[in-house]
Amino acid sequence: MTAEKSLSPAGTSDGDPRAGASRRTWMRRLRFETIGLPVALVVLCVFLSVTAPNFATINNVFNILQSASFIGIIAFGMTLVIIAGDIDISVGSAVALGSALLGVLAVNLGLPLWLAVVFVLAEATAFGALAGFIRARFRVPSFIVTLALFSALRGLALLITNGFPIGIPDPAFQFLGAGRIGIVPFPAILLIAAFLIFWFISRKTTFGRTVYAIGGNPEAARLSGLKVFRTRILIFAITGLLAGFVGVLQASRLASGNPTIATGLEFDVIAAVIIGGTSLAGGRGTMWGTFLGVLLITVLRNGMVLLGVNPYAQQVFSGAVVLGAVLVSYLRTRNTRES
Amino acid sequence: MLKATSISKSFGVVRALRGVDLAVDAGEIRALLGSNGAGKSTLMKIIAGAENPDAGTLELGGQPVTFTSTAQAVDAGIAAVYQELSLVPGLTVAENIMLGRWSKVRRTGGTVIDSARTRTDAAAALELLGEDLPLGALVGELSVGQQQLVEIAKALSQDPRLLILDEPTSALSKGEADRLIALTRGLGSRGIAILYVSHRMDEIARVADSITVMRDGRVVTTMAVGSADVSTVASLMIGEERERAASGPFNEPDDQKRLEVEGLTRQGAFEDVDLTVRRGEILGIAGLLGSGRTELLRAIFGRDPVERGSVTVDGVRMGRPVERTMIKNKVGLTPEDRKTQGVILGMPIATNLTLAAFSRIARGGLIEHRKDRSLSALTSEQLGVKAASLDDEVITLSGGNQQKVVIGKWLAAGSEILLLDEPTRGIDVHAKQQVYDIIRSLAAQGHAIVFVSSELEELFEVCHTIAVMNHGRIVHRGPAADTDLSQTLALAMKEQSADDR
Repeated sequence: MTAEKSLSPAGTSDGDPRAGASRRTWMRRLRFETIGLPVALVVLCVFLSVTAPNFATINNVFNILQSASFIGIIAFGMTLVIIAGDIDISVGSAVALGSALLGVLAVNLGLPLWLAVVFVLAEATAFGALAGFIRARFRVPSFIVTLALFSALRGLALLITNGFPIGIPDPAFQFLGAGRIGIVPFPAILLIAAFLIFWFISRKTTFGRTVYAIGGNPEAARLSGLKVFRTRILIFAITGLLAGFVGVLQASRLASGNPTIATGLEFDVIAAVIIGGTSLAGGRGTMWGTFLGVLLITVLRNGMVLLGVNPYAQQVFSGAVVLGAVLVSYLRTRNTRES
Repeated sequence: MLKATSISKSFGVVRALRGVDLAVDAGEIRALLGSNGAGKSTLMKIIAGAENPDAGTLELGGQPVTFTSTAQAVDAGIAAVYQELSLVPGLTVAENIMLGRWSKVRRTGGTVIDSARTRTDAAAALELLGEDLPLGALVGELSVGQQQLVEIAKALSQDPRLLILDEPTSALSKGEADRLIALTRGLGSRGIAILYVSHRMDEIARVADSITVMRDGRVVTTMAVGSADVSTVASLMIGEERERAASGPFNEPDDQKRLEVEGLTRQGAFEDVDLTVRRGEILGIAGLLGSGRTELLRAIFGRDPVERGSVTVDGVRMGRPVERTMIKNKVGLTPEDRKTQGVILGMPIATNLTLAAFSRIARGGLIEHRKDRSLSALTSEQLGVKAASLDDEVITLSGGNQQKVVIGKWLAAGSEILLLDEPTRGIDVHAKQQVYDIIRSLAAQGHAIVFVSSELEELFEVCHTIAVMNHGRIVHRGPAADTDLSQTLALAMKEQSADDR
């Protein structure tokens, strides 16, 4: 701060401590997202390379990226939802419905595959938009709205398939979820593309900025003339669309429309977003953090499998990691408030 | 009963109380008046044990007392009811009245609340009040007036010798206020001493026995209620030295009408409001808490509904005002509560500044980085926002600088008609002067400004025209130069009678 900028002697004296405080806030954020998380990820990878057989192989790395894509693509939409101060716990069920519906449309009803995909994406977007509409119009907490969808969408998926997977015998279609370009799995490329798109949305568009504003202070956002209602519907519609898309990817990978997949996916998705530093209180979060969070949680799961950790113990450990991440997130927010 | 002697209290460099003496007898109802910052709240807090005095003594019933907590004050027999109600909406009337003091019974498996006993205790408190409220009803389902009664019953259940009522009628309808006044008289006749803070003179005349006027941390005078009329009290509150305002605005307004409000009405909030603001004019709206100022501004801006009347901006009549249309027509509102409505505390200063200016910094939904940066930099420079970096979050700024950000948001958006609701609330004296200068120079540039404030002095220092709002109506409107400060205050404080308008 320069002397000529300050209009008053009173101002100069109190300028310095504030500048110091803000620098500390900055450092804290810098440390966590651009240093803390990558370091944690690297440490974890080094540890697993040494201890877990086959961890540091090309094949396994691409396995990780493939799994990461199913979580990550949805997690970017979820990041918008959580930044806006909401939550969507219906994504796992939405993936299952997308996959199941694809099987029913393409096989049972004999629709051309591309048309079936279009229908599935439209369906998933519509359910997302519905959740957003109910949230925005009736001010029902999004947790409750999506809890209802969590149950209803899974039920629908089971209902239309009678609970059985429907085989989709189409080798070309399998490329989407299981194909490779060179040695790189196609879903991994989709993951990177989704990251870039959502990074752009969150940083460079008025829509993205509106999402942050709504999460930071909905009343101030509204009094600034921002389209709060429309934005709330849109973020849920986007997340729905992404879930539907992952449903299609999963159907492709498994070569079947399957109503029982993606149970508990919402946990991984939300955990990745929270580990990535997005505040559950709304208003804060980055796509980069989410990207790292997705990698971290996928590497963790992969590593535990390779190490032969008891599958039940894996769940306990995953839970502990999320709890730790939430605590860190909470402490950071509190520190910022205090400064 | 209560005797306070030479009470002094400072907050940093601000001397809130400078040797206050106050004595209230048992059964006496004492009205306490004073402008913002006169020291009423601090005095009440000290009596109620929420603050410690720097110097001075308190005596209760002849015994010296010192309180280090409100609980101690309650034990000593002092209960207070503040403007902000402290009730739990999801509990019943009875549970709220006895909040935290529920009778308990031991049953197998643990101790539970004895609801029958709690109800009897609560009923006894309501009995004292002479009011009949459904004990089992949830407090959240009651009207504000009834909630106020629950709060008073809660205070009475603590068996106080002294009851403090802080602007108890500001949120009440006329009928509810009348009931409350009758009830307060009843409490007085039972021997409870009452400190009654209010500025509604008509109400004070009916409820109080005596009046104490405070100014600048001192007691100016105490007199019997019969010997006080509105204008005397108003001039005592203001003080002679401040009777005439200092500088005034920089410019004279044009004739071009920028904002016209006609017959704007929402029952219970504001009625038949007519206002005109011309190019370059600063219109000040004076009025007491609860007079409908904030409601009026929010309705003009389209945030809250109106029932009748019209808003016209630059000759274009707005059907039903909506925020976004108003903003497009260059109207901006800086809300009363800066932190919860004006700024987004966790967002950078720069982003806050351009939040309402998407049409200027973005095309097709894409933000143009350079335009964004230059607009926020220009605006913050124009207003002298003092920050290490515009990337710092607004929460790191002082109150005055936060207020500049709220005003800056509208300047960045190109707004020329500004509705400023208490823009100087809670900011320091120096920052206030800066805000005044900003307002004056905006008017000189041709902006039209509505300036709502509880501090009359600042309205006279800044505005061309003063309007006085009382119970949702504009009761007076005239050039600031021809208007007398204490007369304005008297108008704001006077109860409206039916033929009065």
